[in-house]
Amino acid sequence: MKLLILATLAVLLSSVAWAATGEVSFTPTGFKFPIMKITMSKNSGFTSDAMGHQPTATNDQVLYTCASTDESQCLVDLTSQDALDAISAKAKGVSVAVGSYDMLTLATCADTKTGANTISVWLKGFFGAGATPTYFYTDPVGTNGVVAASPDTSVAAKAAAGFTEISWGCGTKIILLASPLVVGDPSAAPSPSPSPSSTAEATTALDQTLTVIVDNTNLANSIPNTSSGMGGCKGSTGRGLCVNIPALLPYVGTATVSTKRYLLSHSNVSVAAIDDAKANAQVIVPMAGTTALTVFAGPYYSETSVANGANVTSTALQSNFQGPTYNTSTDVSSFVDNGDDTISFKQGGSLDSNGGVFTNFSLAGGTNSLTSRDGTVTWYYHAVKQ
Amino acid sequence: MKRRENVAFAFIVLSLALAVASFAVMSCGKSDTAATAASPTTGTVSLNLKVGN
Repeated sequence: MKLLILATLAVLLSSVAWAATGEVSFTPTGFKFPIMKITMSKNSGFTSDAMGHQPTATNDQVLYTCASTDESQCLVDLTSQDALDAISAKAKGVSVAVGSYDMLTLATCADTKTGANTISVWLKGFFGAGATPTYFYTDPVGTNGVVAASPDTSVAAKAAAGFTEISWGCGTKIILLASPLVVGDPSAAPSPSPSPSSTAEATTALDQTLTVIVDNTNLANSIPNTSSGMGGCKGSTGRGLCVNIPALLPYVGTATVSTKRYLLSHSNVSVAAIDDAKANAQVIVPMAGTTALTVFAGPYYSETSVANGANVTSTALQSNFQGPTYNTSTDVSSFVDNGDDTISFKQGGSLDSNGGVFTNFSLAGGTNSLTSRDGTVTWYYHAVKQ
Repeated sequence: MKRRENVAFAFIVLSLALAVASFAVMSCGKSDTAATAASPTTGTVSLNLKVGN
């Protein structure tokens, strides 16, 4: 009898922690998002408070401001290069103070609004869910924003997809630069009477370009059992939609980069126990030649993926494949290209004890181990290059 | 004759004064330009947004 109860309990717990069948990430074909202001700053240090590991912005330099204070008039389709080009054209040759800058802040709401306010974002896309896929598309009309395609084909789903409105809480997105952007040479002391030889000294250029890759891969996901109150989601019961801010990957210069992507699966038992079908995280690394520029890590959903790690110290069966949490920002300031085809970085802030510490993450993919931020748990992982 | 010599002398003095003044202004300008170039306080940044997927 005891065994039966334990077995039943194990099954119930598993169903809670594992992602539900039909849960799926997808890359949107359209995502209209308000960009009110883009600011470049110097991080003067991280705080450690109840809000976690927050950088402190100083020497703010506004690079872009929307002409309107109405967010609905400042929507930018983040999947459209033409739309991004329009922002770039308005943020060209912006006069800034000489200095070193290592953080970008993107404001999605007008300055007068707070986190208590909401705005609307608009998502468009289609996807197949299930082992024998049923195709769905984003629906502008329905209350859940998603309906099954008829006929049940990807072609029909793609053709029927329209922009559906999703409520979004006001806030700012902070992105750290792996390498600072230096305008001029702020460390050089001004010379009142420069000698001719001083002109030969190397200085950092006064005119710089900051490239930001906006990566929408697997940005949205659909959950069969959406509940009301889920942030960035639409639907109160049944299948709904969720969306996040894209991976924003800034680097100094105009170099054309290639992007490496990985899906990660985990085990807290052994490498041999890892099941790739349970992958629940993605890692994106932009490359300039053989040099990694920065890194982004976030959650990934498939019908067989396990839930994202929340209780990293649990040894319950259902937690064995979860890995660290990826529902946090990547601590880009910890990023290092080790120069041997590996990178190191941390996920989450200093207070996110269940965030992961990656050391020697191979750019070729493969197996390795990581530790939780509090050092109490070791996870083995398999990074499958996409 | 005397009056013509006075006018010529005044013209020479005035020309010399103008030359000195011009030199002073040019020198001053050169000095300012050199100081500004040595310690710029502003530069420019161009934002370049790219769709990555």
